[in-house]
Amino acid sequence: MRIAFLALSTKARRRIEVHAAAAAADGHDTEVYVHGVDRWADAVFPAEVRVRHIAADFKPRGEGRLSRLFVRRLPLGLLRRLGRGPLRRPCKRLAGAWKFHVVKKADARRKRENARVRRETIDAELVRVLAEHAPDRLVLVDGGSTAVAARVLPQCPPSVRDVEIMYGYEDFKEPLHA
Amino acid sequence: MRPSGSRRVAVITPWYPDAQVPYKGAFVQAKVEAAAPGCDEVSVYHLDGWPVGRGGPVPEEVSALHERALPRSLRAVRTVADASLYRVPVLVPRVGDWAVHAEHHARWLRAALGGRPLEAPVVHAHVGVTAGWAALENAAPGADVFVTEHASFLPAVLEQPAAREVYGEVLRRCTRFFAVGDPIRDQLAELWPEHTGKVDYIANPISFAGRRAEPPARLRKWLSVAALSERKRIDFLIRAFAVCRRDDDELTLTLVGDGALRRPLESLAAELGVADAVEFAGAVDPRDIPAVMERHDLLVLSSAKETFGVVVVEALAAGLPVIATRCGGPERVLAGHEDDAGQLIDVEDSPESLVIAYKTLDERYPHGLDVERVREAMRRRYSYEAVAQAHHRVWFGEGAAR
Repeated sequence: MRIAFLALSTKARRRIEVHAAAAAADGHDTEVYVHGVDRWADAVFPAEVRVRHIAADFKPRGEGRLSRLFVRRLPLGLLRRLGRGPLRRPCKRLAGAWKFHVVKKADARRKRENARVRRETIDAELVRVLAEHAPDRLVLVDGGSTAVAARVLPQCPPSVRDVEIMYGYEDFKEPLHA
Repeated sequence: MRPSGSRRVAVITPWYPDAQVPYKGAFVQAKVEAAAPGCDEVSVYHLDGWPVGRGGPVPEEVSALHERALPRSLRAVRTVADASLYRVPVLVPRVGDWAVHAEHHARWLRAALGGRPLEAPVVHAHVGVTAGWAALENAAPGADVFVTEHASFLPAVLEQPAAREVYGEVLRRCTRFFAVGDPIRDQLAELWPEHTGKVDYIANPISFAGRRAEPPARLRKWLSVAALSERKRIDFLIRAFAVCRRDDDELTLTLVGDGALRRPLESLAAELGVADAVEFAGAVDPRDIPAVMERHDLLVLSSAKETFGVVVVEALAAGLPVIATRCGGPERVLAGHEDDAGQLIDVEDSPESLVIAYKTLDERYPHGLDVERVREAMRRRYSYEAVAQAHHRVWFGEGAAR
């Protein structure tokens, strides 16, 4: 039987390691989908378990040159130069207000945008690997992976869309039937 | 009228050991291990909280997927004493509202059961606001529902008006309610005096299988089995230990348990010059605790608050004297045996009382103590056999213990 663990985050890492190893030991063709190469570097899986790094190439977009110049460097540099003598305090206050109202918001906007692109990249890649592996069982491991499955499965081909879902692979009293 | 099959029991719990946290809810597992022999069937439903989202309600599409998948995925896993374990992931929003958590626990257990009630005529839930509510909402008509409260976070639950209302309902509707210590019973009696008669005490089982071959010759190897958290006051323990060690450089202290304060406590031990005598052993599987106890001479419990203080009984089972604070549980457990078991001290804002307690105990040890007598008294109350009989009497009526 083909079993895929939708892990992504490391929150339930120990459980995923143990359950995936148990599935593989029972002779199932086992894949684990993870995200974040560094975060999963210490994970221990037996050789029979295939670990697929989802969206491994994704790199968050940094601050653009124009934005860095007009949002950060020019205004804050100008206030730093002006802020001498009697203008020190008002310029410091103004710089603080600028950081709070403009810089912080721009950073938050970029962070949101990066999160959206990351999510879309992960989803698209998951749709592809699920279609390719066509698992008989999809194991969800935490609330996050349940939310991802709810987003991704409707985008999958019909054969994958109705995959049987499990919430772990343990020492079941009844054997798992295909 | 009870459903048929009178010795079938369903246990509903938010905590049960799994591969991720092997010691979470170990006491529930121990109760199952103790009480399942003598029952026709015991099914454990582990309602495992899975937070979803960033604070709002669980998104509709996520709930829909879970609703569809959960009943089909419910599968019995082997656990202790041939009981059946069912893992039920409970999707909960990331909110601190316990009434919302209660509703989600009830909802997802119902979904897992395919909308049908629990079949067992006896249902025993652990933790009132979550599993207790889920048990009452899913028990078959006529089933007896028992609830045991262990939660040290109960005051936070009862502070919330909606959660308090749920809790009041749990107390009103359950057959009997058990508190694992006086602090919990006192809180409930204060809020619901009309239900005081329903609230009783039931023990967690402790293994009396292993013990030290010989009583300790001197009380030099101190042991603490507690999370490294503020409530456990390990800083007081380290300070008191450092003072006592000035008089006896053969003293050692082993800290079993982990937590957010590990780094600061390691720094404190170094600052007090006792780093080489204090071992931070980390978390230990509960099944290995008796063996750890056997390698030490004295258990010290420095907590500010404990609902029961299971480690005190575990230490006595292993043949160790104890120094413990009167923090709620230990004084009840050791009532009538205080001097024979070791020293009890008040919870104070200074490590001084711990130092005095150790010096007093060290002076009168081994005379003036009768750890063997206390051990026997504890065995009669907390051994697996005793706890099993207590549960069978509660579940199936007087004279029902097999």
